[in-house]
Amino acid sequence: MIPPFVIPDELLAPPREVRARALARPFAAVLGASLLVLVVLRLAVCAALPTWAVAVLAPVTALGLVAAVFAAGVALGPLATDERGNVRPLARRHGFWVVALGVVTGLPMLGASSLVDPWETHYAEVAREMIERHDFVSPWWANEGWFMSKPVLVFWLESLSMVVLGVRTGPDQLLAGTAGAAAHPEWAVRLPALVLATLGAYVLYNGVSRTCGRRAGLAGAVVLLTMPGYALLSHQAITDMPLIASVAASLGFLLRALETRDEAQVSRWSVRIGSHLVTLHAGHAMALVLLACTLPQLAVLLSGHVHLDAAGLQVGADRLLAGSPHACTLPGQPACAKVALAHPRLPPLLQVACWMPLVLWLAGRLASETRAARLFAIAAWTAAAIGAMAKGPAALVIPAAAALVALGARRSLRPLLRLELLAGLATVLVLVAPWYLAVYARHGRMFIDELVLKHMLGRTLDHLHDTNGSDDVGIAYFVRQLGYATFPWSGIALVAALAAPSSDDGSRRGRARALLFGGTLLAFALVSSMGTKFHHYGLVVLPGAAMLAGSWLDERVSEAGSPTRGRARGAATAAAFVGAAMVVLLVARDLALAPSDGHVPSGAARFIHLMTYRYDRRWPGAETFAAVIGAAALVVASTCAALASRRWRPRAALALGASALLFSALLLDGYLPAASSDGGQRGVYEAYYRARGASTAPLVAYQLNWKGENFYTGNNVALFVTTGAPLRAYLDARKRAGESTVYFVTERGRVAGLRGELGAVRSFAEMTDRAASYEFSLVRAEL
Amino acid sequence: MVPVDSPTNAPGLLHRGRAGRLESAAALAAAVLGVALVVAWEVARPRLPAPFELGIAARAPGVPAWALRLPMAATALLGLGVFYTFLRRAADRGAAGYAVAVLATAPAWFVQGRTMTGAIVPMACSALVLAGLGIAVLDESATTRTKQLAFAAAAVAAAASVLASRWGMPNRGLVAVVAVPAIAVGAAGLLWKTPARGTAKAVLAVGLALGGVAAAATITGTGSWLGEVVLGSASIATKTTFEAPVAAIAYGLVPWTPIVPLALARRPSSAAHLALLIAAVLAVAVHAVLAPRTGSTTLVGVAAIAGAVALMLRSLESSTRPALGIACTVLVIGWLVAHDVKLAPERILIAFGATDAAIPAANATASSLAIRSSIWLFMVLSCVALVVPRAWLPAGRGLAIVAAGAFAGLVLRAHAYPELLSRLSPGAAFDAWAHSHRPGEPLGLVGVDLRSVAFAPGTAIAPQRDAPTAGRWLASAAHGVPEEPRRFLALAAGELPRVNAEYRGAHGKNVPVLGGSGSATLLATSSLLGSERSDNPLDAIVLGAAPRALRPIGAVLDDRLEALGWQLTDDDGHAIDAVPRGGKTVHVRVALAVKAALASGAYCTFLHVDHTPSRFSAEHRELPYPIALWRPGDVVIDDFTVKLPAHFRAGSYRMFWGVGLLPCEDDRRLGVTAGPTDGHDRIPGGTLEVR
Repeated sequence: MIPPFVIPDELLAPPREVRARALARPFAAVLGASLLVLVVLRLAVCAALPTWAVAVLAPVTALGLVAAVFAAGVALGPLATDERGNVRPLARRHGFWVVALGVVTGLPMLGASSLVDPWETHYAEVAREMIERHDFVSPWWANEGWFMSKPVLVFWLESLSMVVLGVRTGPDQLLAGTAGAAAHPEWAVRLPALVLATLGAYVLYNGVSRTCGRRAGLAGAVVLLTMPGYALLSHQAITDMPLIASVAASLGFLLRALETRDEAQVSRWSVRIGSHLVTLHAGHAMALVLLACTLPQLAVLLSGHVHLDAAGLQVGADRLLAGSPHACTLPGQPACAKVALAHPRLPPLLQVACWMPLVLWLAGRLASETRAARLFAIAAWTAAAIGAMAKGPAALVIPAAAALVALGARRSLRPLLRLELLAGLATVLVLVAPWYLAVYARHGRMFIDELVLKHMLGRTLDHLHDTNGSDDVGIAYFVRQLGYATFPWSGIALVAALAAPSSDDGSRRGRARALLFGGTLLAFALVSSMGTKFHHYGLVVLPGAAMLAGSWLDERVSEAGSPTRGRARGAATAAAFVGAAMVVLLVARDLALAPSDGHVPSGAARFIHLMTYRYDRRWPGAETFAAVIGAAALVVASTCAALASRRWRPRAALALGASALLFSALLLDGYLPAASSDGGQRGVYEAYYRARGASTAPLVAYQLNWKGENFYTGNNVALFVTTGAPLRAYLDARKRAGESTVYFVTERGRVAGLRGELGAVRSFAEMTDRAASYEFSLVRAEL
Repeated sequence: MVPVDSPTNAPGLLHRGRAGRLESAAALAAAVLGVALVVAWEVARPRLPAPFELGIAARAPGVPAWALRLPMAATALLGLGVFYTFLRRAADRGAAGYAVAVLATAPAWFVQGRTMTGAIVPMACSALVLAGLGIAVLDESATTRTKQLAFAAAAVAAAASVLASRWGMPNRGLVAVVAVPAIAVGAAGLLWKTPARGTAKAVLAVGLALGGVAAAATITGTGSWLGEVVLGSASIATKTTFEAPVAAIAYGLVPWTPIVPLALARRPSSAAHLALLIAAVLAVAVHAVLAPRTGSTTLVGVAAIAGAVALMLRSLESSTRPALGIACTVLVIGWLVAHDVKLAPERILIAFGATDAAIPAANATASSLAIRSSIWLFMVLSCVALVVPRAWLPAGRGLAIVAAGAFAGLVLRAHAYPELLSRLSPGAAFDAWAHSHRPGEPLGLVGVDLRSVAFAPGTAIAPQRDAPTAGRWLASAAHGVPEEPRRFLALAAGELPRVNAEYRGAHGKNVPVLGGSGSATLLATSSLLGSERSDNPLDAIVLGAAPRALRPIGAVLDDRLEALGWQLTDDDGHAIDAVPRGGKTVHVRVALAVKAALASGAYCTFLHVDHTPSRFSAEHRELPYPIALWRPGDVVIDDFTVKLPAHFRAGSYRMFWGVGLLPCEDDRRLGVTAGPTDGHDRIPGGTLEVR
């Protein structure tokens, strides 16, 4: 039975009233600031601004937008006072500093470097094809046809971002910037990851700050945002940040839901518009969020009935077209063809008709819900559902497991009622299921078999494929990767995580710790037990671990100022900090001192290994950072040792945070661009378009299948994954047509093979050096 | 509070006190007898030393293995006894008992205590140094004389750890054996502000000085004698990363593994507890630091870890709240460790601290189930003890967990590891030889350490250079004439295929195996007599004729290899007609007739089960009977273990088999020269039914 959720108005506190006119200026400021951010980012995309200018303007305008939103929140009411009813300016809001940290460390160089092959380019190419194919339901990736290994959210976000920021997605257009400069579509492709990372960190901060204190929340957010695993992932256009940020947000909302009293009501704000009084509350906001997440999906489904072709805009039955427009006739590319729908009796219109009542019922229910705990619970479900839309059920499993551990810590099942199981599951259903039903209607069982049974279930239960070679993939595997992903917080994060289960004291903080520990432990168990393992799978452990570390650090700082100085506690804390310092030094030994043997990369490449599966190739740009990592380790280890002293602890904690921030900035603005150049193809295509000029000399991808070749050329590329006779025939045809100049893109190690396969040619020249791309090379051949 | 008379002063209790002493003495005698029986049983098994024991065994040829293992057992017992004494003085009798229970049932300790690798010496010395310094610095009730004795014991242990290397024991260096306990005890004394702070400072200074020397030795070159003494003997350089101790703890300390990380992060309850925590963490750190130098070894500081676990469990006695967080952690870590052991049973070999080369991994499989069962047993019982109301456990949660762990550990100590050791020892092969040979019949050796024979006296040994030579030597003996002397060959299991190939080449059948099947060492013979039966594991793989009931294929690869047909069987070898859904494994056994040896090159075989858009594929990059050994006339079974993923729903799926070129990552394949092909040199084998 669903509990009643409508509280009579007379039982609620009177709403704060504000005139619409008073809101005009703040909301205009929000609009203006948003436009300013948009303009700066669009200029960044089309390379109308130099890199340094974007690096300054993007964060500044983004912070301006945050300030404008805050001012609007103050004017309307939600942000007028803090949780204790005190008026606090923006600069004294811890939450602002969390967002500011995300923006200032994350934005400056976000799109300034190449997408890293293969994952970033995989997803970016699928998103680009969605725009080009006008099909946002069936993902397509160039020569490999339907893309069936990930759910759809990341493609929707990236394609939306590309459209909004003005990326030109057509053939040979991706790098066409203004005034001959090469465009930077990377800004658009990576922006969703950064936005989600910042939002996830903020929501988790919010949950922790309300249960463990603002300083603990802020410390946790600083730890999270400066962990290399999280920071680098916020600059990677892959499916994992939507998953991890969603898990973080879900944990944050769960903390609020479980620690808010059952009877607590949300605040209400009345806006007087003329003679009308409109009363708003968080339930309305939640309903809006639900509609914002579902209605566009339903609109996408309906768009299946709208077709744009030579005859213009038409409305009719859904149709499915295979192939990449503009590339159907290129070698190696599938032909464009109409594909029969698997279930034509399940048209998009019928699907929307099925979903709409549920969506409207839920929205109505949320709009009338005024119990704060229930709304937080629905928000947790929503966040988890968004994660599931991006990567699969792990986003639901981890928060659910964390909630169970938290309930166990309370020794009560009563809070389950607060978690809105029915409405929550319905929310998950309307957010996640429409796309699955749509692809099922179009492609039938095959798509579900591939996506759900093979890539989700299969990867979890079986060893599908990975690139770990002879590495031990037992329990130590993710301990190792998390050691690198949490550096320089490795020691403190480890100590805090291990100390958490023994410190179950039943307090509010203890209950919060139980939930965070549950999330951390279950995430670790999930990824460690998976049959298929890649380094980045372990990063879903980070949100919980970071917040445990922040909370633990906060407690230790409080302990230093406490008048009751327990001998046991003091000694244990001192020993723990020294132990943490040792862990940092040990991890740093792997990162800074492990040499390269010429083939295997040196230790410094372990950070970029968290983001890609090319563990066996060199990353020389990244490897130059060994000294920086070593220096950071020494500073952090010294600071950890200083934390052992009660007297120095508060200042040492600040110094530790500052060191981590500096290191994170260096990582994002120095290390990642260098690594991107090593393992990305951008430099090669810049050189190609420069060299080709106005001519139409074609580009051939020679034994290459990383998808950077498809993305950066707008898929205007002849693909020869396997060469031999087909390639010879193609080149002969070019020659007969009098087109003797052909450009080739290939891995550097295959250039010699290409030369041998071309045989006698008039000229053969490598056009790019290792500075443009260490891994890839551009060759110009005169046939 | 009502004052209670001391038992010794209470009237009428004098007689009871004497009786109590008698009872104690009887109990002690029973305990000593029990321990002696256990030790006697353990050191006698296996009868012959395992390969990794030969380093020490060879120093005393002819001395029975049990006699050489006895000092190791005594060292382990000494370590246990002294460590018990330390904890009884510094904490309480209960904690001391728990520590002994943990240590005695942790494979990393008891395996070394019953084998003659010598690794128990630095481990026990480390425990002795920790205990000696701990009593001298942290035991406030110790008299000056006791402290002096404790210091002396620590000094003797430190010296023994260095000198023992002269008798072939591994040298793990003063840093691990002395500096870690010294720093731990000194730092604990200072942090806890114990009365003997002056002594604590001195002890800490010694530890730090040794650490400094170690750092200097590392910088100046670890090959120097100073490096040897301080850092320990260098092994073959290995590529290790910071988490190297994780595997040593995870698989070497079962069933206690899930408790260890929690114990190391526990808040200390006394100076001794703090010392144990610091010692345990430092031991783990030193293991990680030295791992690139020392390679795969056991943790020296196991005793400190066991002490930390014991004190944590002791502290749980007073816990009235169910410890759900700890229970969850135990469940997760225990499950992950059991899962790891199931997937790769060779992980448990880490308790031996020896390299993989010395211990063939396949032998670990037999003990895997017992070890996993032990982990599960501990996990479930511990979780119950942690979450049930305190009133249900009158003796406390800690004791319940210790009892669970001790019981699970005894399963390991009494069953799983002895079974593993018996497989690693060449005893079964030598016993079979002892039963089968007649006087004067020679025993060849290949892949088996010559020193093993010292434990099988009276043997006429004919060492062989390599497996092909050994195979030819065996095959050249008179064959089929009962009166003629036979030849025997003790061989490492890994050498069997090459020996077998030579023997098949001469006689057209597999080499007879008389003993040791399933062990690391086998006994092969030139011919069988009377009722003898061969137990050659290759009999199921290399045949003289095609098996019956094949589903025919009839394709020829490169005019050299004919795919005769295939069978579908379950795990027990019974023929089945369809693959059951639900993730069950089946076997697709492809029978191949060799027409001519394959041209030189590296090959793999593959099996594809087609499915749109992605197929199931399995490759054999290494076969149990390598392709290079296939000879004309051989019928070889290529056995694929198939576990179809969940997206293979009920239906019929086309199956293809073929031979590819290594690394088997592209479409380069051996050409199909006759019979059916799919046009890409894959041989269609018909359909595989999934139901």
